Amino acid sequence: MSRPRRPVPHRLFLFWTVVGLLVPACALLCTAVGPFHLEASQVLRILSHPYHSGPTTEAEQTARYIVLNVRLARAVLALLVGAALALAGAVYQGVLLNPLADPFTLGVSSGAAFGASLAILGGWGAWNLAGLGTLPVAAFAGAAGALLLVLLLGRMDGRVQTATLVLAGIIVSTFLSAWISLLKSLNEDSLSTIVFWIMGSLSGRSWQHVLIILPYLVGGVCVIFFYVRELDLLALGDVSAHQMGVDVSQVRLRLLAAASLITAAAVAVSGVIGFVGLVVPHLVRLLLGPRHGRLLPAVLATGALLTLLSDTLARSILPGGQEIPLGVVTAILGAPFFCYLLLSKRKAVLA
Amino acid sequence: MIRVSHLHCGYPGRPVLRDVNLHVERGEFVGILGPNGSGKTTLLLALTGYLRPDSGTITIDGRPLEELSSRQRAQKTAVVLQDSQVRFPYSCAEVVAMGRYPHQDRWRGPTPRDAEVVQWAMECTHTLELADRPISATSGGERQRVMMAKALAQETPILLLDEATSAMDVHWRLKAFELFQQLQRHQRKTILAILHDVNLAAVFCPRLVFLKDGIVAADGPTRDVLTPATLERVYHSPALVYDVPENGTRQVFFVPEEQGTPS
Repeated sequence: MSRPRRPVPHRLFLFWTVVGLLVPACALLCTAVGPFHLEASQVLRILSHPYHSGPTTEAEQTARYIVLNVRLARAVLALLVGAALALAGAVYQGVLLNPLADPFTLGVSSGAAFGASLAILGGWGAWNLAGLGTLPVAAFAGAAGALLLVLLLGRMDGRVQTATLVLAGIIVSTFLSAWISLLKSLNEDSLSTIVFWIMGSLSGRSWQHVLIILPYLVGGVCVIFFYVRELDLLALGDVSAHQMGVDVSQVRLRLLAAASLITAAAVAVSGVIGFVGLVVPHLVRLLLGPRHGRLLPAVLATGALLTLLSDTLARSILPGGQEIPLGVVTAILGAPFFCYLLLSKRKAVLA
Repeated sequence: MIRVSHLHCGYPGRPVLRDVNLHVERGEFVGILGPNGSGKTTLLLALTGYLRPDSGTITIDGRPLEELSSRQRAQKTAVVLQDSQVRFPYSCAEVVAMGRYPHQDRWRGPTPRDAEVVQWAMECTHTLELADRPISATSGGERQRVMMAKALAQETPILLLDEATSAMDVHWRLKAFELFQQLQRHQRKTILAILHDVNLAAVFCPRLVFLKDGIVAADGPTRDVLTPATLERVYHSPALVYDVPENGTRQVFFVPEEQGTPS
């Protein structure tokens, strides 16, 4: 028999209390960390008066710029990207009924990488659209194109079935990866740029990037939370869900499209950041149970928090202001943790 | 209540049902029997609207099935499948509560009435003690009882059972069928049960339908159709049929070929 567990409402309260305290605390902490040394009190003062425009010293202005336009923007972006990837992962796992599904299962990452590679190779990366590089736009277009292809392939036999979708995802991913390799081999000069982009990083991102991802995240969250009860019913299998009045193919398609667009927006601003979308849903499911109405808000918060912490590590762990790509940090931390979950809670993870 | 006319149905490239006609009145308890691959499950999937008929019609309460919205359909018929895999470790109570879906409003949470019905369904099926157990940690028979409770929570006039008690032991199987019988008698539920156990069907179902190779091989009151002739025709096995004087039912023994049938 399983050991006695705390009742779920109690855990739910505990979870949200802890997360509710940790998110603002970490956001504050993360804006205080960085190669440009700033006192915590100064950071706090700047954050509490963001629109202050009185006479200030030059040092004060620099500090304001770093805290508000560099670090805070980056912290907010980390929160959004993490929330987006974790939510998309939870939806993918719930819709595809596959514990190994993550936001990149349907080829979104390869599509984005392909789009970005094309842009880098074509030299369009330097162009500017409304203050933004073309890179996010190209990545988003690539991701959306790959997704469209996967969904078209996946519904060839009229029904949208999970196994067909996963296979279509693998086919499109492999195909695009081959093209990315080709692009890399065509031009060695852009090789390192492409490789670095694919590894995923939030380095040098600004409020504009926040504005790119925000509408997709908000829209996707609305669609996904609209179908939160259907997500539970899908776990009973196609026949049962259909029989209980769920339009299985339609709901599945809409949920996957919403989750994929969120992922595409996240990948467009940050590159490919692995493991957040795979591990966070499992972790939260172990804590709060599988019911999506409870699971998804918690997944959003946990994904945001862990990505923020990982990004802070990524930019502060090496001395001398050098950065590690965020995707590398999440993989180095995420893989052993997932391994631990798999070994110690095997039944719960693979149930 | 349910009227199936000239139904042809199957899977792409594999027709299964051929010209099936079936009329079931409200409050009937019909056993559907037949060898493997005879089309029992296909018929059930067609009745839920999961499989579209190639030709022919299915009406429920006089309305063609395809005219009903998926929600209306789910308010009319509930299904218990033989083998239900639940992907994530939902608690049994959560699974039963999912049965309320066709009655719930998207924006309003569960009502007190939902809670009452779930409680009732779990009492009937003796699953209250499993309420907090993850569905992934139940045995096959327990899971089938939970799925029964979910179907009852759906509060539909029609219940379709596909080998719904196959993993239960004798005690629970009898209890389950007693419950179905009560629901049929007291709530006038219409029940169609696919069964392999001819003798269980003979005890509880006043009417039997035999399917063979996708056509209805026999259909009628149990007393009339449960005969050695029908059974041999359907199962290709010699059968002995006895009346049980103690309870007025009829029971069947299938006899291995080499022992022959006494004349």
